[in-house]
Amino acid sequence: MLRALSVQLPQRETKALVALHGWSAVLLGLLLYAVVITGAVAVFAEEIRHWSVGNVASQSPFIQPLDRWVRQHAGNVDPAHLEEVTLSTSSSGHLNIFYHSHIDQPDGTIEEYGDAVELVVATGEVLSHRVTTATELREQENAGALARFIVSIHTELHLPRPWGLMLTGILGLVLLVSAISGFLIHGHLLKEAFTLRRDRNPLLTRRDVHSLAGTWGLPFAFVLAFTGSFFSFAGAFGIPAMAMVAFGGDQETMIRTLIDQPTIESKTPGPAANLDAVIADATRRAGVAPVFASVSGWGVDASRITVFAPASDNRLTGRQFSYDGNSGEFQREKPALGKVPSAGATAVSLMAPLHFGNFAGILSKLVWGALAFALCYVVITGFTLWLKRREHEPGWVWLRRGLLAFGHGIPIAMLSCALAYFLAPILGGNAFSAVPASFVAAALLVLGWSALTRDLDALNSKLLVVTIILCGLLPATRLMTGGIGWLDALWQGNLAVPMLDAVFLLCAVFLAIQRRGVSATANNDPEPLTLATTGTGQQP
Amino acid sequence: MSSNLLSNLLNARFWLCGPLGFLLAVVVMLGMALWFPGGAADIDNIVLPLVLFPALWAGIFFFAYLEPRLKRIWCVFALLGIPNTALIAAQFWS
Repeated sequence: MLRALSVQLPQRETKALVALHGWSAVLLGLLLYAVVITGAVAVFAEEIRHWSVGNVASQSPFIQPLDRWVRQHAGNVDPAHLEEVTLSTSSSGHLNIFYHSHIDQPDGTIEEYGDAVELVVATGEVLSHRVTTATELREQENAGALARFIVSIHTELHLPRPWGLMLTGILGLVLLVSAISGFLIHGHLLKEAFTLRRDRNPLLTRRDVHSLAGTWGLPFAFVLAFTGSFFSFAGAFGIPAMAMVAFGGDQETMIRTLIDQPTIESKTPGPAANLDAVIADATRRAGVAPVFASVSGWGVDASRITVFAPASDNRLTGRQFSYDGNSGEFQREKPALGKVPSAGATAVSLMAPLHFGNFAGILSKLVWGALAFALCYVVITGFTLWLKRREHEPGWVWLRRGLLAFGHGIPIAMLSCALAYFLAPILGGNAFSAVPASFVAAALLVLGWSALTRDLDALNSKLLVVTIILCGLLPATRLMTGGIGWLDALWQGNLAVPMLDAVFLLCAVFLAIQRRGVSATANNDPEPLTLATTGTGQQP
Repeated sequence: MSSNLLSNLLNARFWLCGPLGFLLAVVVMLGMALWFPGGAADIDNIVLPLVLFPALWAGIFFFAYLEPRLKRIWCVFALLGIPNTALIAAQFWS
């Protein structure tokens, strides 16, 4: 058994892989840490949205009659915008209806443009009605600004497209290299997974801790790296390049072919099917209420409806059902891609649940989040080991500063942007611009502070204090700026509010205990195990 | 440090593992759109190369990094790169 799980490479290859494992992490590891830690938080994007919005409608709009409102507003919008109608849930839990057409952009992409209506399904009260593009609608929505920003900082590091995606794609490949080289250089995986030598020299203990966390996290790191690179590269250049080769550059035709959604050319008027009946049928088939519906060609002959339901009944992926848009008659269950089930559709449909960990509700998300935080720990301990071995080389002090700046800076910046989300409305600003601005400002402040401070141990301790204060301030700020109370939230079925408030308070307490431990160790032990090993100990 | 960087830039293996390896993975991915079977839904030739891109790149990278004989690496790069490039070029010219 032990022999089966051990990988023995010749000495030359092992040496080369050790160098690759270390240098790839040193060159891009800090950015990789930024992507992984924001990803660990982004796993809970839905919970963050519920926590930050607070008053989220307790019932999904898809389990209430909505047909009359969709029909009523369809009669009031520009007929050109009836090319496609999409129904989704807004950040505050109400119904979003987007009547739109597709417009060719100068850069070759397609933009959706039309009437966006947000309404309360129970009463029909219109909360907002704007004529806008899908991009503006998504980017300028205040309510979901925090959750959306956390996801975008993870996927694109707040850089313009396609450069952000390219960078995160490259970082995904770096993680893949680290996972594969880590697997190959740690000769005895099973042994490494259970080895922690505490009584010998501290460097050995650190190495064991790194190997232990890394060995357990290896399969997860591999899965995350693979699926993450796929998402980044497919979005950045894969899909446009494939469209160039296989469809003469026509991205829209390629996408429509892949998702099997042909353009409805007909202008002949036809009846619009009853959406309530269609959604009820889809709910019965899926065993769960849908989360999205799309009507291609509203009120014209040959109209088509597609309804999307999330994963349920021990399924890993969601389901799609296709209906006749005129009669409402069920046509077929659609595969994720293409007209009939295929290997490609199955492979693609597995990418999202494997990357987001959302296939078994909050339980799988907790596992995914914990594993991602463990991966951050592996990156940090990897750096600490690297620096420990080079503690007498003054040239590496920049990496020690960088480790402190990133290690503390990213969590501080994320906490700051959450504070800005709550404070912006009462200070007369808007959340969708205040959130990214505060993230960048906080990150730059920590970077500057790290660059200018001489005593790195003191800096480590101070940054920890800042993190503790921000964690403690967040629930209080949320409540003081009009956020919903715990009892009201529980009454509305919004568990995210008490859960995340409690997480922040527990984090503050945990970090305060950690800080006391670090200070005590720094005073008594010549080799403190802090975030940045500043080289006070002896070379082993 | 700077002399190391310079020697790396002049090192053929650096280019094979880095930019050329990445370019080769992209070329093979695009070429697969033209020769890979479409499958039951006639989409596998588009979708699977996109999904497999990270694996393609990793395979090429580790081969170029670990194979001691540079000539062999160049041969494999040529074997993979030339037919796929020719297919893509033929697609554009036709």
